[in-house]
Amino acid sequence: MNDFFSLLYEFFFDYDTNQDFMTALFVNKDYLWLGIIILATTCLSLLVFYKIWDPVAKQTFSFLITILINIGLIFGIAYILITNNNEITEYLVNQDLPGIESFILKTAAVTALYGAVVFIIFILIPFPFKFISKNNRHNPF
Amino acid sequence: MAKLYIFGIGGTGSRVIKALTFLLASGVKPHADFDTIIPMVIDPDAANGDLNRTTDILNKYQHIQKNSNEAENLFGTKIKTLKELLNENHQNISSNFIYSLAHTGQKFGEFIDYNGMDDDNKALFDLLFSQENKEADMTVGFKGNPNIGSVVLNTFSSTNEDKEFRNSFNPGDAIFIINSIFGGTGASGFPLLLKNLRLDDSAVLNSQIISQAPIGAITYLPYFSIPESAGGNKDIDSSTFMSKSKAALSYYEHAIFKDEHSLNAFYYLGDFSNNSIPYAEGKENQKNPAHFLELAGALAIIDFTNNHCKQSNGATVMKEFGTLQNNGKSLKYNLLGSKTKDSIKHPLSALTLFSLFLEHSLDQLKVNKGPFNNQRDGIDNSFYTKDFYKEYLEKFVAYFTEWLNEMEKNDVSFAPFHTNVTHETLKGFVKDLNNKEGILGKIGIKKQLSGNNLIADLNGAIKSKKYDSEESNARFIKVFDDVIQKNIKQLMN
Repeated sequence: MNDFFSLLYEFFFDYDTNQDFMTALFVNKDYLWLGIIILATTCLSLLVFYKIWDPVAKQTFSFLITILINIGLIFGIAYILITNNNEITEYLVNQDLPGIESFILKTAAVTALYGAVVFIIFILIPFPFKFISKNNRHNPF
Repeated sequence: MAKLYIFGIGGTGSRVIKALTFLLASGVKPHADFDTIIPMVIDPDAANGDLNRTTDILNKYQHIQKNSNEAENLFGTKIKTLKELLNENHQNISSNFIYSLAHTGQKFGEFIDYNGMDDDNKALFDLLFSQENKEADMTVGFKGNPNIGSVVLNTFSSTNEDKEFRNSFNPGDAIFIINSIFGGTGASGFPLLLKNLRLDDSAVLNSQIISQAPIGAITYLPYFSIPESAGGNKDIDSSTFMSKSKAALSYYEHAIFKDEHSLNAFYYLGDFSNNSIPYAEGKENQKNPAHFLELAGALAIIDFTNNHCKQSNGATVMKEFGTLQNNGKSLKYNLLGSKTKDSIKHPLSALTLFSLFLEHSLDQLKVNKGPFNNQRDGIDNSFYTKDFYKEYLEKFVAYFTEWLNEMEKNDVSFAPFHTNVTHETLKGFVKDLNNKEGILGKIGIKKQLSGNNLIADLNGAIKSKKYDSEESNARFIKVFDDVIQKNIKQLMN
């Protein structure tokens, strides 16, 4: 699974330039964890929105807020995960390779983007999240 | 199951039947032995504003009830016309709750054929009736002249309605009569009608059953007046209401109560209040604002079915109605007696919440993204453009709101509900309830009083699939019935 998730990130990075950073994440199986974060956080956000919160008023606005929170959460967790990778930390401290900060930010942003994509995929199908909702079965469509 | 026939005589009769219709719509029920109410309004003034408003309300109720597939509470009791009861094509029977009286569209002198009388009869007539009586136009009723009414209304037994009423009457059925004692139509109509009903004549169909049937009645003592400024040469003068009432009561004493079996229960209602209504001699101008006593009268009918329909021929039970001392303030639930409060608090609040929701929260419901608005198993937005909603339910609810508003503005004022609620404060509509928002409500997260709570419950009810098999009209009423009852119980318990 680590392989699969790492593939998703290769579309966004020039391998030659970021080879060391990407290898550091790959070796530590952080891509797998990033994938788990995307799925788990998105599922949690959808569960909170459709089952627990299930707003009656300002439903479209509430939905947009939820998707933004989901993106923010995934970005934050991904950032923490990446910066807790020992090798990445060393690159950060030593500054022996350029572009480590932008790599970290870009990886967290791509993770958040995938979070948004997964969020939308889940709401395109009625089951299971819309199905468990009482008031938002047709939100946003 | 038995039927309850209600005769509403004159304008007061119409208004009490109107109040009863709203109570039945709210979920107040007669005793379980009765499954059908047959209201019949007896009023020679066919254009009377009160009469037409009442028949319109009854027609709308009927349409809603028939289409709601026996909802448990809201619109839960069947109301039928005589024509529907017989399920026959009687061309000569009114199909809109009016007990037609023959030959009332003329002057009294013409009705009695004064010009065709011999001199002796003319002399007798002149002794009993004034020239004004003779010239009285009966198309607007008897204008406070019971002496005219007592002659004209004696044609009860010759009407098609009377024949079909007798034809449809079965053992176990009961009769209730509503009249006012201080006017013309009601004061004269009641003793005549009762006499006809208690007549056991083998030549008259079912008279043996009807004469033994339980009969209850309300008589209204004066409860409104007509302003003196209306004075001048007016046919109706409220300063004579009391003397007319005394005279009529004196007549009732020996004509009705001498025979202790003539009535099972007799209810007196009246009020010394300052409410005066605009002068009107009848027709569409006679559209008196609703009064709390008419609601009390409707409750008397319910009380009659619950307590006095089983008793064997004993002495007439006399009942009066009272409230706790209100010191000139509006009546709210807490000033009603416990029996009255128990009878109406939940149902009346339920129908009020229903009407307030339609007024303040329907727009929010229509745009809600929950399953309530589903085309397949919910209520599609096109529902609100169809006749059932637009012509019947919406207008019935408007009549109900008008009725509540009129009762609030009248004297005595009956005002148990806040009228200034919004969607956000919808469930805070009952006065004197401790309806405070919790902490979450105060910061805008979970507003306990918001109409959104009802919308969530409506979505929940549709999601439960319980109403999938219902047609959309019945589904709408039943889902609301379910949700409104649940919310009222939460609010009041």
